[in-house]
Amino acid sequence: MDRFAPAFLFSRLLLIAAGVLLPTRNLPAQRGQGPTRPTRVPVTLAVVDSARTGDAPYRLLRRVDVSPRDVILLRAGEDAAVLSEAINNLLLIRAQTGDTAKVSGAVRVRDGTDGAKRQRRVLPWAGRVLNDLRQARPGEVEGVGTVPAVEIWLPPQRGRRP
Amino acid sequence: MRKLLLVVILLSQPVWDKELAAQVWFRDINCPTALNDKVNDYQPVTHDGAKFWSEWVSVSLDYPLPSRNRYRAQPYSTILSDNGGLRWHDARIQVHCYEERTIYYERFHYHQVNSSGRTEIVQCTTGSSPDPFLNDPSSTGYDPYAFSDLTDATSSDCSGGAGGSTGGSCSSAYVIIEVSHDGGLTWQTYWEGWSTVCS
Repeated sequence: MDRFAPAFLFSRLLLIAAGVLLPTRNLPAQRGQGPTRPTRVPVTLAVVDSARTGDAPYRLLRRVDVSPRDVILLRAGEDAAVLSEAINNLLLIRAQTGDTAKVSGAVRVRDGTDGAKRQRRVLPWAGRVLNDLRQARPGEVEGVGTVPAVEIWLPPQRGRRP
Repeated sequence: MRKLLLVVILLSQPVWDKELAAQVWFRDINCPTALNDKVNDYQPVTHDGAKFWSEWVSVSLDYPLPSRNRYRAQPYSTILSDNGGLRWHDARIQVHCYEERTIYYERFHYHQVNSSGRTEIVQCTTGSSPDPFLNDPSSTGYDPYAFSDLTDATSSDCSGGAGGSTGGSCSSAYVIIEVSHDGGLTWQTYWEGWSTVCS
């Protein structure tokens, strides 16, 4: 490798000079495709063991000063209906208490009318996201640990009704 | 000035070892989290015979990423071909990431090796508006991976009729939102009142 060194270093210097002086390629910004501002609110989905969710199939975490702010801990083996219920409840919570949390903690929704569990809509894309979540290899989620996780984006709820 | 610089570059390259100078090395590298238009050396991605421009983000969040990695289109998972004739839903590609190196330069390549997703021929009707359902999470056209609800990446002057709301009924229900600060051992009422619940 020693015999490469002089030529390689010299070529690097020339390439740096060329990069400065020669025009760059047709970058997206030059084509008028600037970055898009997020207009949705993220939530991180993570698969955890049942000890992390208590008796429930999932747990919603909202954090004030930790990123990601909203996390859904989903028990391994749950289906799209459970994921949909978790997301629908998060949307309801965001609609009533804000798209970003004002208080850190686990949150849940209880039906105060008759105590009966309502059949909630199953989101048509929940199965696909669940499949991605199952295929995701473990990554670090702050405050949760190293778990399989994906991030999805939901419409802002404050100011509109679900 | 540019020509002069190129001439200088070419003339200044060492030629004492022609065999070495002609040699090219290839090496697999870890794929990056996101790819802009550098896929296929800044050429469009192809799928079902059509060309598509998009930015791409890794499906996996597990680092380091492998040298053959799967990506999904972002910010929209549904993208339109460059001629507007084909809409690609759930656009995904597999990319081979590798380095090409000589004694003069090193280049990083991100070549598409596979693609998946459903395509649909765009039926053109002048004056159609962009799909209105993309912001409703209960619709089949909703993209949970898009961080913006702008529709400019998927809409064109043509309407393909893809997706559609799954519908469902909504009613008012009295709900209680509770919060726990001790990992779920005890719960306190945080908010309660009437709210619209859809099923």
